[in-house]
Amino acid sequence: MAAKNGNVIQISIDAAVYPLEAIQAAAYTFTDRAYVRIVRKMKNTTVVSFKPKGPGSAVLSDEFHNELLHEALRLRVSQSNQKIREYIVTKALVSSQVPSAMPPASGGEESCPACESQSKAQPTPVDAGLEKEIEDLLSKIEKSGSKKDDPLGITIPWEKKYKAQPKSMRAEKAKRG
Amino acid sequence: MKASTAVPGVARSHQAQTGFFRFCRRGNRYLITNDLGRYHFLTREEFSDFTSGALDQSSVLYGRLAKDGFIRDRMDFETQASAWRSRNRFLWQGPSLHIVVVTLRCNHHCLYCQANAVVMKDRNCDMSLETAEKVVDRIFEASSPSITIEFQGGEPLVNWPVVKFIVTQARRKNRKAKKALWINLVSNLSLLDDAKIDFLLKHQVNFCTSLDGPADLHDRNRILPGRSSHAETLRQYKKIYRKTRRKMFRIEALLTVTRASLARPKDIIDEYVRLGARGVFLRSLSPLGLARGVWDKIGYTAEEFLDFYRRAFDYILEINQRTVFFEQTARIFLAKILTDNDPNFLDLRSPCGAGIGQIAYNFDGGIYSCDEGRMLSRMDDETFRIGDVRQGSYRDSVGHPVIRAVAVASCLDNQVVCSQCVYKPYCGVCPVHCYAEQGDIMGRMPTHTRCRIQKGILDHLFSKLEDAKNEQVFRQWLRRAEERSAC
Repeated sequence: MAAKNGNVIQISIDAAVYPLEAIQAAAYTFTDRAYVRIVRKMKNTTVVSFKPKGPGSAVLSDEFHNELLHEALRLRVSQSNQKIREYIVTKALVSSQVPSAMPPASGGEESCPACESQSKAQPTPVDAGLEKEIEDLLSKIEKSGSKKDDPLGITIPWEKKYKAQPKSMRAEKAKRG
Repeated sequence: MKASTAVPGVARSHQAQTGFFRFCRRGNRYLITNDLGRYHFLTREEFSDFTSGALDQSSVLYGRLAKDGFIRDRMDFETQASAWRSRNRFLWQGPSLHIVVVTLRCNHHCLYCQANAVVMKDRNCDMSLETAEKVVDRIFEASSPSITIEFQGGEPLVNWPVVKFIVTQARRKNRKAKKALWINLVSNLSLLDDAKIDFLLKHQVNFCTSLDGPADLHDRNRILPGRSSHAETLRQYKKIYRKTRRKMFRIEALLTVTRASLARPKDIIDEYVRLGARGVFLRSLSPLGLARGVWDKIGYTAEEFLDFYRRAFDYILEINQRTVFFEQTARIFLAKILTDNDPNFLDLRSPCGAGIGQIAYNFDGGIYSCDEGRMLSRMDDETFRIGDVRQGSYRDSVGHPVIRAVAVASCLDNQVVCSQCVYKPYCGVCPVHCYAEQGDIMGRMPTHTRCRIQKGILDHLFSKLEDAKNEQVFRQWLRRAEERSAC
């Protein structure tokens, strides 16, 4: 629902339908055109106020609602894939330490889309085996002692890094990067 | 087919099937991308079916999306991790680009000089041989197996003895270090003579010069007292061009777009084609150095630049019907869009290259996160200074708190808008640019000029990618990029 107070547009949003994060993200994208204020009014209502920065910067209520839907979808996709994305990046970073046998990807439990409440978007449970593997990988990185501060060895000078190695190995490493 | 809604799929997102993706609406179609830079254009109905998990599993589209990692329960983790590693290979390397400012003196008075060059008589702004030696030592401490030394200024040739020393010393040191060593000279070329050219070619130095278009336009931006900068540049350009044909090292020219350029995209590109250049780099102005003070005279809005860019780009595509000729910003983006080989362009990666991909050494031995950070120091702001070649160590500089802060700020996953942007896999932010424009290294993307420009360029590129014929042209541009390898 939108109301106009002078040049300020106030849009009331049902907080049971849209998560606050989606509301904030959608509102943020309008900060090039308007000053934005977000206020929680009642238990289930969040009010977003837009005050245009100049002439021709009007924020259209419909445009904001579409952006809100976009952000809600982005948030949902992001949350439901968070563990898998973390797994892929962790595996890439420490690939030499990763066992070759990969557990199958889990699709999560089947659910009825009609019963889902958008306001309760939660990360899809990842298969227990996969979850454990992710935790193990992260813990290996954290336990890497002195490397914790510089796991990729960027701050180690060239000579020191390769000094102890035979020439042929140094050349090979340099080639591989 | 599902009934359409304002944003199809939101209410029915099927978590088991839909893998991670980012999206934006483009007319009646949706563009989706994922962390590996794979992309697809989907119709409204296809997007609805994709997000709701209703795609027919025997369809061609489902197969393509699964192959590219968009289908959650059909992911090949080995391939995904390997591609991620390849696309982010630069994370393992450390600083490879080393910018050496051998002097701040320059014989030109360019309107937009981002380095705030000083007049020729100010000899206090030259690097000494003693400092130069320490700079080379520090460069060879970098953990990267590949090193590019780039001479910047001022005009580097003003301090020729130091240029000569660094080239010789670097080649000598590299006999032991055995790194892939590149040396670039960024110069207006006007102080070159045959002896200098012979020395530089003997040591396989690449040349990079500025060319702002036809003579009238170039000379309006780049003022050489008493002479035509355009004539001087072209005289040497042609000579070097002839001598470096079919060699791995060569001469390239760079364009800086000012307000005077906006109406003349065809004239500028024709000038580059006429000179036999392989392409053109349509670079927008940065609000650094002198450019900031005269922005109201030579600057423009993001929208004005994009209008110029689109006209120039479309003309370049016309030229490609008869010969291969690329646009460099597009080529960098296209490498990320069409391949897993990141070109490691330091301003367009996440995190950016400041301190962990490049380091700048000022004439006085001061070390900066990047060339932009060094330029800011010419505006009396030492925020991005990370050390001195006469004190401290390589490790002190690379592990400096400023570098850590800049790395966090330029990691797109930490940027509110960028993390969800459909173009995130291809883009990058420059914290120095954010700081110069908005006073904050994190930047605020909805009002950030560079963000608008990059988004506009990517919008245009993806509109061209919808036509398969253009993709063939773009792949030819990328093959040209692969022709170069380390000497």
